Amino acid sequence: MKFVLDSPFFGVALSVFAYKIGLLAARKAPSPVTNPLLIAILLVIAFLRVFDVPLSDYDKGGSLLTLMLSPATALLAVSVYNRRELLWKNLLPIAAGCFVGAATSWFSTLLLCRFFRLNPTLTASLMPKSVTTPIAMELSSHRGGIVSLTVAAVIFTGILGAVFAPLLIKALKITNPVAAGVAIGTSSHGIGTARALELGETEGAMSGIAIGVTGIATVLLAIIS
Amino acid sequence: MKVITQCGFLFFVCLVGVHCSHLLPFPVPASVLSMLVLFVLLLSRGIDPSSLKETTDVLLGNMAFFFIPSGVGILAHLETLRDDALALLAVCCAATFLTFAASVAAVTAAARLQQKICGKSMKGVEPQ
Repeated sequence: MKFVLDSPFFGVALSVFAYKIGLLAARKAPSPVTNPLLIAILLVIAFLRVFDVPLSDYDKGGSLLTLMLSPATALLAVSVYNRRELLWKNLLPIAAGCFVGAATSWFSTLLLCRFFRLNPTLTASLMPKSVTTPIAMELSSHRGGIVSLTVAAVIFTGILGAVFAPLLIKALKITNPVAAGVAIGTSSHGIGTARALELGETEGAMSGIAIGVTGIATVLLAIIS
Repeated sequence: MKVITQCGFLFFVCLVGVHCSHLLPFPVPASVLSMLVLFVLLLSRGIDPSSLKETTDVLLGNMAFFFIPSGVGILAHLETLRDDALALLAVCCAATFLTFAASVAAVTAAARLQQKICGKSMKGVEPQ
């Protein structure tokens, strides 16, 4: 058995299996809470705990998946490029929304962490949480955060946005689809974008663009602060 | 061979990103630089997005899958996080709602400004 766990195939196979179940659950009971990624992570954790498998064994295969995050992030450029007409037409509102949103997220998280007296490591882990995962991970590790806590915070934030976006749109009486889309993408990245696509095509496209622009805005914030 | 070529090209773009992030005097994630490099290549027509189609569909369509190991890594920190769990959740909730509201306000204000400057209603930004 030791030889099986020692092989990188174990981590990859377990991840694929867990993700398949996550996708199935999301299809059977569609809701933002049945997020395939969230389900897959919980299943893998449960498996490792139940069978007492060390995390380092899982990571032999896991690190291969993590390696693919960089090319995936680079490919976000393709999705922004495909919507470039909407981007140029609404450049000012998109830039304003993403930069103001990124700054609000960054500094409100910092102040709230200070308020709750969280230590600097936890604060650094939470600050990039409204950006898309690969960018958030790199920002977190640059600033001495716990990368996996950042991933958890990013997913939680995304689910919050996806669950509450329709309610917030109603409560804030938002009639402009550009405003709704940018706000969803800025506050809750890819998981929110999936929800924004359900609200409308403009909302979805705007949310998708906002992921990339907010990422860049947050990187700039990280440099100056 | 198509997908192998596309992956090879993407890995090369990522290498350029890694190299640039070491050249810059301040920390910028290499993946963000790779994204900018690819965006410039697309805008300058140096590369056609359809030539990356297969890999784009796989990686962007299933992006969540590649995050699983990063999320599972939290296992190693569960003990240290237990005491602060409630505070961490509270920070996430409050900051997300604030970000959403601030972003909406900024887009609405900028859309109004843009309409005023352009003098005509712009498709996509006018309130409906």
